[in-house]
Amino acid sequence: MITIHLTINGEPVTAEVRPDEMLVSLIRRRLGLTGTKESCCVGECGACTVILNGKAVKSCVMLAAQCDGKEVVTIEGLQLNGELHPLQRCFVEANAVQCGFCTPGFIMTALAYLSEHPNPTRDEIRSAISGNLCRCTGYEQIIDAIESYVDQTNASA
Amino acid sequence: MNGFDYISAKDLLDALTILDREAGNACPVAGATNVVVKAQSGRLKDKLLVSIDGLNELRGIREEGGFVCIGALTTLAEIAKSELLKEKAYVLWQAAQVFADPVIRNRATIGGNIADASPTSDTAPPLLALNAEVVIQSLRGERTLLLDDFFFNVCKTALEDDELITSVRFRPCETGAFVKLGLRNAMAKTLISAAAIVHLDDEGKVANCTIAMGSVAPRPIRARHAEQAIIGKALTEETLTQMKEAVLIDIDPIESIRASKFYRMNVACTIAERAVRGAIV
Amino acid sequence: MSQYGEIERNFKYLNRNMPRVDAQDKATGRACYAADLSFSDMLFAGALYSPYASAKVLHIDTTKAQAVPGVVAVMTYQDLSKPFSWGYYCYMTDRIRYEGDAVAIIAAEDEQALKAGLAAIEVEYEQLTPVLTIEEALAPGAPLVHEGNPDCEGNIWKHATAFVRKGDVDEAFAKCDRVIERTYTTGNVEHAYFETEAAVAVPDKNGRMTVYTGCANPFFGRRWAADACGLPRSKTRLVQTTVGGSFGGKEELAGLVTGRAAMLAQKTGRPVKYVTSREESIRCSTKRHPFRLEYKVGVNLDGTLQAVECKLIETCGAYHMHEWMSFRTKIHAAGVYNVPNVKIDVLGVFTNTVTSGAMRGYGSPQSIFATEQLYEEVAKEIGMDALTFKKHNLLKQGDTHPCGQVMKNEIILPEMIDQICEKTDYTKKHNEYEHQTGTIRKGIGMSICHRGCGLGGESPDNSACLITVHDDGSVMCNVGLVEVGQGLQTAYTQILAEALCVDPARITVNRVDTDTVVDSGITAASRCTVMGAQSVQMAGEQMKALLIETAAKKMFHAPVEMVELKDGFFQLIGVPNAMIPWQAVCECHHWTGGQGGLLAWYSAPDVHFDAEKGCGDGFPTYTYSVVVSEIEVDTETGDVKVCKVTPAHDCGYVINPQTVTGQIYGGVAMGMGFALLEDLGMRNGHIMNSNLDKYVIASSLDMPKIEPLLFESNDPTGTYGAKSMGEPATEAIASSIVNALRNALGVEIKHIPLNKVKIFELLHK
Repeated sequence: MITIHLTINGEPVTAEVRPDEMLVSLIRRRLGLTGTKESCCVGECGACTVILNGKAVKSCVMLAAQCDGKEVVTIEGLQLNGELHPLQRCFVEANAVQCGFCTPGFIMTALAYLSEHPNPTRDEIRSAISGNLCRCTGYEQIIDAIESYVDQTNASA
Repeated sequence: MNGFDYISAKDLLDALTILDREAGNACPVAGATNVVVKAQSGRLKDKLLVSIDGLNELRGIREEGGFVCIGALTTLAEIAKSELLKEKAYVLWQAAQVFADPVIRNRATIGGNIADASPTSDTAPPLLALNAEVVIQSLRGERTLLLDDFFFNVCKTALEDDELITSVRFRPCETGAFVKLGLRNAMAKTLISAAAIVHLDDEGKVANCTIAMGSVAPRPIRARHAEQAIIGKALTEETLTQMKEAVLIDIDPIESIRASKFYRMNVACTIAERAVRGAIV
Repeated sequence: MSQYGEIERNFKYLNRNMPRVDAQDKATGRACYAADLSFSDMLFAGALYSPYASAKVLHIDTTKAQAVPGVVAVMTYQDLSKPFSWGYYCYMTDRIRYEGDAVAIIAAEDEQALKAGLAAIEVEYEQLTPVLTIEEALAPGAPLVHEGNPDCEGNIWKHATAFVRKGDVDEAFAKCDRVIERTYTTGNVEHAYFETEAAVAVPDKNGRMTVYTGCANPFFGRRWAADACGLPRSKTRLVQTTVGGSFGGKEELAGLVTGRAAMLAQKTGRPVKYVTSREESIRCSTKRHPFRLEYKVGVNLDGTLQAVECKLIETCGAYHMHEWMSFRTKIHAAGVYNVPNVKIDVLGVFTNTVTSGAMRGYGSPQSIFATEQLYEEVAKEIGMDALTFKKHNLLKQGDTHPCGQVMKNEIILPEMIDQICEKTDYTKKHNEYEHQTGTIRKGIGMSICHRGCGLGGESPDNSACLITVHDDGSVMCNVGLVEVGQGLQTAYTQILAEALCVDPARITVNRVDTDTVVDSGITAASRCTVMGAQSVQMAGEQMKALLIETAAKKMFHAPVEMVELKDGFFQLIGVPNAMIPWQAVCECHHWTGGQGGLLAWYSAPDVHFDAEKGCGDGFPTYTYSVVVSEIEVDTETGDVKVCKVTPAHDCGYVINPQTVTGQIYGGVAMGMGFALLEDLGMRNGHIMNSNLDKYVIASSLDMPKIEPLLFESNDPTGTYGAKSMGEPATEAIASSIVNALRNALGVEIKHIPLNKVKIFELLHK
C-alpha cells in the first residue's frame, strides 16, 4: 500500500492506496464520493472526469498514487453553501441532463476548460467536450448549457 | 487490478537508478493513460511502475542550438496550445489537435507516446516527417537516435530496459500537413495517417520532402519510395499518381477488425496524397 | 394540424418547458445509481463466463476458488433447482449457448478477492459446433441451440412466428405491371447505456429479499429475484435506483444480475453488490435484433402499390422472450402506405450469438431501413419520382392499413412532408445530387414512417398510479413506470399538476418501488406518456373531485358544483374573496377523515387482431414522422459527414418541448450510429468490440446540425392527446441517411450498420 496526501474538494486527505488503484476508485470507494462515475474504465467515455491541479483528467486511467501532492475537484466540490454552481444550474435549465450518468463528467470537463478559455465559440465548446461521450442527449443541449453559462458569466463580468 | 508495484522517482537520476537496478522489471510511466489500459489485460503483472510524472526537468518546449526541443513529459495539451510549435513544427502541432481527445491530452505525454511505439501513434508520423531525434538517457550516459531508427516493430523500440527518453528534437519547420482518418471525429484510434513536409525549389519542383505514415505497417514509417517518386519533379497529376503507386511499396498493412487490408492498401495512397497537397498550400 | 406552439389549449402546466425534476440531483452527483450504494457487511459478486459460443460443461471444480482468501460463497449451475431462470434465460448453466452464458458466480469480501476467486475456478468444456447466422441455423441438420425444447421447430422459435394476410398477393403479382424483389440485412447494435447493469441485494432476517437496481421493468426484476430465491412476490421487493439509460436494454442481463445477487445474498445472509464491467455488459446484454428482410413488391405503372409480400427473419440469438416484437414488426412491415394485398411472415431463429432483445424501435429501425429504400427502388423501376410515388400511396385518415386496421385518427403526413420539403429544399437538391461525379458527393434522403403508440396488440397495456395528498399539501405519486432518462418524472409531474390543478412544486413522483404500486408492465414501447400517464391523469382528476367535495361540504358549506380549484385556491364560483388555499383544504380533508389517496388503473383501448386470420388492428393510434438527412460522402475514403438532419414528428400534443427536443437530438445520434458507426465486430460468435473505445458511438464532433420540427395533431387517444416520442425520435434516422447515401452514390445499401471502411468497399471492391 502507498500513502498519499492530497486535497479533495479543498479538504486535505491522507489515503492508503494500492499501487494499481485508479483515482476513481479512491474517490468512489475509499472516500464515498460517488458523484464521479465509472462506465468504460478505459479512459474513453469521460464519465469519470475530475479536475486535477486545474486540468480535466479521466480518473479511471489516473493512478491514485500519482495524485500525491495534488488537488482534486469532483462534482461534489462545486456547490457553495448548498447552492448549485451556476454551470450546474445552466445544465438543469437547458435540459442538458437526461439519464444523468455522463453529466458530472461533462460539467467537470467544461469547468476546467472554461477556466482557461472563458470566452469560447459554440464550435470551440463542441470540440472541448469531444472527450466525453453521451448516449442520451446528442450533445446539443449540453452545448446550449455551457454556452448559456459563458454568456451569463461574461455578462456579469 | 493486475498486481503491479509502484514507485515514484524523485528526479531524473533517481529514475535512472531505479531502472538500472530493476533490470527489465520496471516500466516508466508518465501520464499513464496508455499504460493502465495495458495493465488491465495483465500485461504489467508483477512489474514495477516507476512514475516519472514529477520530473519537471523533462517538461518544456524550447529552442536550443538550432533545434526545437520538446521535453519527454510535455503533454499533448501543451503541444496543442504551443504558439512556438504552431510556428516551428506545424505538422506536429496539427497532429496534437486531433490526438485522442482534449481530456486525455492533459495527461498524455510525447515521451510516453513515442515509447509506446504503437503503429497508430499520432505523434510519430509528424516527428518522422520532421526527421526528429530522440534523446535517451541512462546511468551509462546519453545517446541520440534518429526516431526512424528508434522504432523496430509493433510496440518494440531501441530503448533498453535501463533507459529513459528525455526529449525529442528536430530542426524547425513552418510548413507541412497532417491528415488523420479514424472511425469517428474524436477519440479515434487512427485508421490511416500521413504527415508530409514538402519544399519546392524556385522552379516549383520538389527540392526535398518527407512523408511519414501511421497505422499502415507494424511501426510508423517513412514512406521513402513515395518520397523518391516526387523528389526533383513538379507535382502534377502524373507524379502524384506515381507517388501513390509508390506508397504501396512502403506500406504493409494487416487485415484487422477495424479495417481490411484492402481498405488500407487503397486509401493509404489517398491520405498520403492529401498530406502532400496540404503541405504545399 | 399545427406546429408546436401555434394552438393555445389553455393548459396551465402542459405544452411548456419545466426544468426536469431529477436534473438537480443528477447535475450535482447526488443521484444514486445502484453502483453507488453501499451497505455494511456488503459482499461483491461477479460471474465466470464461457469462452465458447456453444459448449457443454463436462466438469467444474471450485475448490481452489473457495480457498481464495476473501471468497465467501461460490455457486455453480449445480446449485440451481432448475436449469432456466424466469423468462427462460440462465443464471448459470452447463449448456453454453453463447459466450455470455455464466457457469459460476462468486460473492467475496472485496473486488480483488472476487477477481482472484473467479480466476481460480477450473472448468472443462466440450466445444460444440455453433450456428452463427440465420442461414446456418436454418440449414437442414443444423445443430440445435435449444435441443429438446417443445417451443422450437429446429432453431425456429415458434412463439416469434407471426403473420399478416390481406387480399391475394399471388393474384396481385400475376396481374400487376412490375414486380420488384430485394433482400436487406441489419446487424446487432449495442444500447451502450452509460450505467452498466448493477444490483445490490439485501436480505433481511425475516426472509424477505430487497434488491436495489436500475432496470426497465422493476416488476420483471422482482420476478427474477423471487425466482432466484424461491420466494413469493409478496416477500420480494425491488427498489428502483436512478437509471443511467436503458433504451429497452436494462431487462434481461439486469434481471440475471438481480437474480444472481439475490441468490448469493440469500445464501450468505449478507448484502451482495453485483456491478457489471463494460465488457461484461456488452458481451452479455441483449442487442438490437439482426434481421434478414426479404421483400417482394407488386406495383402498377400508374404508381399504385398492389402487393407486398415479405419474410422478416429475426435473429433471436441464444435466448429470447420477445415474442411481442414479432407483432410490432409485422404491423409495420409494409410501411405507412396503402397496400391492398399483403402477405407478411415474421419468424425468429435461435443462434449461438448474443441474445437479442428490445432496443429503441423494436423492429422498426430495421424494417424502415428496408422499406423506405425499397420503395425508392420500386419508384425507379416504374420511372416515377420516389417522393411522388410515396405521397401517392400514403395512408390517409379513413384508409385501411396494410394489416387491416381502419385509420380512424388524423394523419398529418402530407402537410409534414410539404413543410419539410420546403425547409430543406428537398426536391431541388435530390435532383441535383443524382448526377455528381466528383470526389465529395452530396446526398439528401428522406424517410417516412409511422409507429403504433403504446403496446397495442403486443400485450395488455395497463398502468397504475397511486397518489396521496398529505395534510401539508404535498402530493406523492407512485407509478410503476420508470424514469430511465427520458423525462418521465417530469412529464408525470406536469400531467398530475394539470389534472389535480396544483403547483408542480408540491408534487413528488417517486422512483418505482414494487412494495408501493401495482405492476404496470415494462417501461418501453414509448408508452409512458401516451398510455402510462393516463392513470396519472385519472388519479389527479379523481383526487381533485374528492378535495373539491371536502372544500364544498365541509368548508364552504355549498354544493359541489359551486366550487372550483384554480391557481392554488378552492373558490366559490361567483363569490369573490370566497377562497381557501390548497393546503388548508388538504389539512381539513385529512383530519376530517377524507380519503387521503387513491389508485387509478388505466387500461389502454382494446386492440383486436385476429391472430388466426392474420388481420385486424395493431395499435390504438399511430404517430407519424418524416426525416430528411443531408450528407457529404468522400468517395476516396468512404467517410460520411452528416451535415444536417431535419426530423419532423407528429407529437400529438407536446407535453414538454425541451424534453421532447432532447429525445430527438439523442435519437439522431443513435440512428446515425446505426447507419454509419456502430459495429460490434462479431467474429465466430464473439464480440470483439467490447468496450466504448472499439464500439464506436457518436462523439460531439460527429453530430450534424439538427433542426427538429414538432407537429401537433388532433388525436384523442393519448394522455392529453400526446403520442409516443422516445422511439420515433430514432427509428427513421438511419433510413434517411441510407437514402441520402443512395442519392449521393447511386448504390443500393443492403446492410447496416456501415462505416467508412464498408462504404469504401461498397464503392470500390
